[in-house]
Amino acid sequence: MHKISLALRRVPGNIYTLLAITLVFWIVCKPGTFLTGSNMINIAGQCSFLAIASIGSLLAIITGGIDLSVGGIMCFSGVVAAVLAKGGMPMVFAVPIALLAGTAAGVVNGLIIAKNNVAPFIITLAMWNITESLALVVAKGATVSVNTEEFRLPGSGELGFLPYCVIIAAVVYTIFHVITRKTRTGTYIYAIGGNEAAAHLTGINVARSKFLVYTFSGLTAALAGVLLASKLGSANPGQGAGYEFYGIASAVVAGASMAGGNGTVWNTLVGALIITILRSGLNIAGMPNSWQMVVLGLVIVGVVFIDVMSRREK
Amino acid sequence: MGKQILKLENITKEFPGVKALDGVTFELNEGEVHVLLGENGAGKSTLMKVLAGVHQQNGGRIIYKGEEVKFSNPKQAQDKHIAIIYQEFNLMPNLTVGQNIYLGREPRNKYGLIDKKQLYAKAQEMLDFLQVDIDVQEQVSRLGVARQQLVEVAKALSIDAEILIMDEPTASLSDPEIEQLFRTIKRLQEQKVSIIYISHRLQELKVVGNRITVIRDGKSIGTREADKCTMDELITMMVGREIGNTRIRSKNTAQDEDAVRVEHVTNRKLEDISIHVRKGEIVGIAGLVGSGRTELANAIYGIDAIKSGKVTLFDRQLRKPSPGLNIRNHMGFIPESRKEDGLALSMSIRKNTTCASLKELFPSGWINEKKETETSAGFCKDMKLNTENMEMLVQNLSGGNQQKVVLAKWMCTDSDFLIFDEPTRGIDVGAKEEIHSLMNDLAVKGAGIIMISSDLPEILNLSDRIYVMREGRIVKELPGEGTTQEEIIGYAAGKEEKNA
Repeated sequence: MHKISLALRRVPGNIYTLLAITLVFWIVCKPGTFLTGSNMINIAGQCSFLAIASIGSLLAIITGGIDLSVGGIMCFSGVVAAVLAKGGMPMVFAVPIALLAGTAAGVVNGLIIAKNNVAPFIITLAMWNITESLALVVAKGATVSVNTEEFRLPGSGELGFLPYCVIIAAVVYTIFHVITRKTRTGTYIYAIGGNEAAAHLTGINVARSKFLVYTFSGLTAALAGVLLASKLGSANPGQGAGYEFYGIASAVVAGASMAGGNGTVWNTLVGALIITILRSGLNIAGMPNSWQMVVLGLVIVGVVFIDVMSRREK
Repeated sequence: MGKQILKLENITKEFPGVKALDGVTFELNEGEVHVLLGENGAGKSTLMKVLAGVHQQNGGRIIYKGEEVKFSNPKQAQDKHIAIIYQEFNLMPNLTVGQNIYLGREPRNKYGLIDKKQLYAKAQEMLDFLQVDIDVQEQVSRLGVARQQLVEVAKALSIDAEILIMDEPTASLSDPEIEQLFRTIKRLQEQKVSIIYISHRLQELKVVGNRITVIRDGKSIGTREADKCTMDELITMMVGREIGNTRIRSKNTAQDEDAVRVEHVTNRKLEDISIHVRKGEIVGIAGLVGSGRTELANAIYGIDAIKSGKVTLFDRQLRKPSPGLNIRNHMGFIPESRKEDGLALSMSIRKNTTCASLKELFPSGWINEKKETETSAGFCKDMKLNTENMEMLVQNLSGGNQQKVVLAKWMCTDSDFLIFDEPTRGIDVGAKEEIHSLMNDLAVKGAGIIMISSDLPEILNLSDRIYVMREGRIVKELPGEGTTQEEIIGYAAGKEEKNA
């Protein structure tokens, strides 16, 4: 046990090794399907929704918390955007309103968690249910299809060969990289995860930082939800389901510890990429959807196990 | 000596049910090292937390540089250049040295982003001033305790501290590290920084301090010039209190046979501990906070691992002790914090009493509630619990009665060796006497007992023998009868150097 965990820690950049293993696995299983230009663009496109949503999961995890409402907020904002667009509202208005709606859920999470010091687990679990049900209400229980060019543009439009959603994801990642690495807010988020009581004694406004984290998480989930609806040309109230899991998985696979205090934005992007590649690889290999979840679950268990083991050795 | 920079006048602080500070007065001059000395729980740390803005006083005034100030949070005290280094460091292990030093006050560039170059350059300046060789980009978790403490000092310097409070700074340092710390303190003094130095290690006080103020039971007892007072004078000031009640143990019931033998036990916190407890004997373990008393209990009970040495219980060596095994071996542990470690507060008296012995009571796995109620009622009656309703939730009981439920639980397991860690902390006088007489009864019936306590009268009134611990070692074995509080404190605080 000891030797294994020591060895694992010596592997440089664990996550890139994992990425490489995933790729090799695919290339060996179905030769000639991965290294095609269209496939890689396709994967980047699929990955962008998860990648954006994962940022919120990551931020919550860095503070030592968790955000389970990501999937629900995605459904809700996606449905809001679709319903508004279907009603004839121009996208320049519909998108910001949908983003605001999702962010509002994050704000509520943040207020309750920060001000009353309630466990994030239970609040965001409730918010997941609330937003998913609100999505049902807004959509009147059915799928909302919007087949206009305008609605589908952000999700499926392309600039040259690059899909817009990939560009948007790149911009979002750059912004959050700067926030976490270069701003005080970013440092405080890590400080809280490292030692919350000490952060308070140092004079850091812990409540404010936590509030911001869940607000950001609401915003990124909403953005992911709107893009996903736009890509599919429709929104249904179950559409974001599972993303809270994939989001947490991306962050954890990328080395964020559930105990808080570490994990980086760029690594989370790689984490999201691994999850996406794994999923579409399993798809192409013809594995049924239900089994895919089993494999993904086992990957998470393995990674968390390694994380716990390496921390115990310290 | 410089002019007065700080005066605390008649500070009082009450927590629910406890008066932690009761009119403390304390003065500090510019460039002075003023030692705050006192026993466990005397109120030293509370007083400093009031000054650092963590707690707010209920009464009294803080006069800083001639003006009355009031801090409602730590940030406000920092803004006035008052820094505190807690015994438990407040560093973020996941951040770098530089990030920790400037945490909360990061320098920013014109875009409002953190200026890392400047941050590390300034942090380097602080460390250069302290003449220590630490990489500012190193992650704090990779540093040893001594170096982490220097980072704390650098952090304090970075807010241009004019008053620096150090709570037990040498508690986890080795001798050369302590020397380095003292050199650092001298340098700070030269920069006119005033230092409040909390400690209960008598040896070092005279080396580092200019004046010494003793507090006891939340009151200031007096202030002495460090070079004009004797250790005995300080010890008398620290103890001072009369032993109220007389000796509870009228007769030493110790038998010849050992209940437990601890031989040369060493681990992270303990150094070569050898003690033994006879059947029917109460052995007191005295020592100041951090002397390793609880760690010793944890090592015997198998909560902490033992590196070398052995523990023998009733002539059987415990190879891999665990709570489950201990219960089968009839060893019980009454922990220091009954609410956290001793009881399931939201459960009934009945469930709490029987939960450690369900296997013996109900081997089939089915719980017979009637039998369970009778069993727990029996033990609770022995404990003189003031209720007969076994369905009452433990959280609704007073502290003394909660402790009796913990005792009933261990009686139920038929323990004949028991470790009591602070058995009467926070318990009213009446219940305290009852628990003492219960412990006496247990010993009379032949149980071996280890009692860890900070309450010296309790140790003196109840023990047949006393071990005094300091810095993870047993420094002295004393008889229970005829020993004085002054003797115990003398050994616990290290009046006599290394007297093993």
